[in-house]
Amino acid sequence: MPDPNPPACGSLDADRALVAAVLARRPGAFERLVRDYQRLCWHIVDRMVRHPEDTRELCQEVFLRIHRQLHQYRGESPLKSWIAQVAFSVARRHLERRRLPLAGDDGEADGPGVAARTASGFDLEASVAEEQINACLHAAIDALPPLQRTLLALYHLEEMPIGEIAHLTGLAEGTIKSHLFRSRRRLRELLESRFGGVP
Amino acid sequence: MSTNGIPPVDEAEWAAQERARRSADGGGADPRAAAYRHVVRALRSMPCGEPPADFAARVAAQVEVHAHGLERLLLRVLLVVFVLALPVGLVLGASMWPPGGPAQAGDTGAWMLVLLAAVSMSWITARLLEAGPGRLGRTGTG
Repeated sequence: MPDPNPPACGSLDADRALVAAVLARRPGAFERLVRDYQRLCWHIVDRMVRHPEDTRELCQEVFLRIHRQLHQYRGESPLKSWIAQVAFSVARRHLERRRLPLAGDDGEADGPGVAARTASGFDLEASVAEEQINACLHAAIDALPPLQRTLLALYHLEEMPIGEIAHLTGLAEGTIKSHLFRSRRRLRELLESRFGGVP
Repeated sequence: MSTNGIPPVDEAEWAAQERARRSADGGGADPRAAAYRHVVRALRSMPCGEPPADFAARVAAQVEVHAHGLERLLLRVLLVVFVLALPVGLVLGASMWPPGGPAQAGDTGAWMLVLLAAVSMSWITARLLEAGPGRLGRTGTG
């Protein structure tokens, strides 16, 4: 008989209940877990690898690994955080295996990096409509190194606090703050160099 | 991954970035944060791929295949071990059998105990096998 007062979705109680259901092999429980967290996993992996086919395979790998290791989940931190950690780790290992740079150059100079890679396709004479600004910035974000791109997505899209991002990436909070700061500043500088004093 | 040597953050500018993050859609007369509002809005509207509609069902099905595959493998291994152990046990048992056969080996009570132990072992094994698939399934893909 279903619980008349099920724990709120996303709470630790709900996480523990879902994990217990999966471990008890209750029909549909694991599928529900995947459905609940597939977007988070997809966003992290996609931001890291930027390759649709690889993203699909790696996300499958993430959930297979989660299924294998679910008995290790203690229920002391949100399941979301644990799944994000596995997703990040799988994507990072994929990049390392392919010898692709993870953090890239986080230097001061914008130089030929983001600006050069996003230079084509934008009419500087055209009006600075919001869509154009967004398109320019989206291209610039895409051109960022995987780590910076993913940190921005976790912070702005998933709205994770820096402490949680530090936990799942294994990076120091100061390092994450620095990456966020410098990435956003580079994007602002790019915007100003393209469109001048945007309103 | 190398994250060493990252210069310190300019706290005033970081504060402006955070103000923009908190009020990306609002106005405000803060010129420093205004420049970052476009950045924050772009970050929030970043296009990202979505999993296919049947992704969860496919992964769940894959997990089932893995789990059942391992169960089948373990059952086959157990069967092979049993088939190999049976003749070995018969040969060893026969060599330990006293001359004249079991009728002269001892009292009936001892043989009844042996029989009882064998039945108990069979019953316990059957219960373990019944409980086995669930337990195997949880760790089955590992």
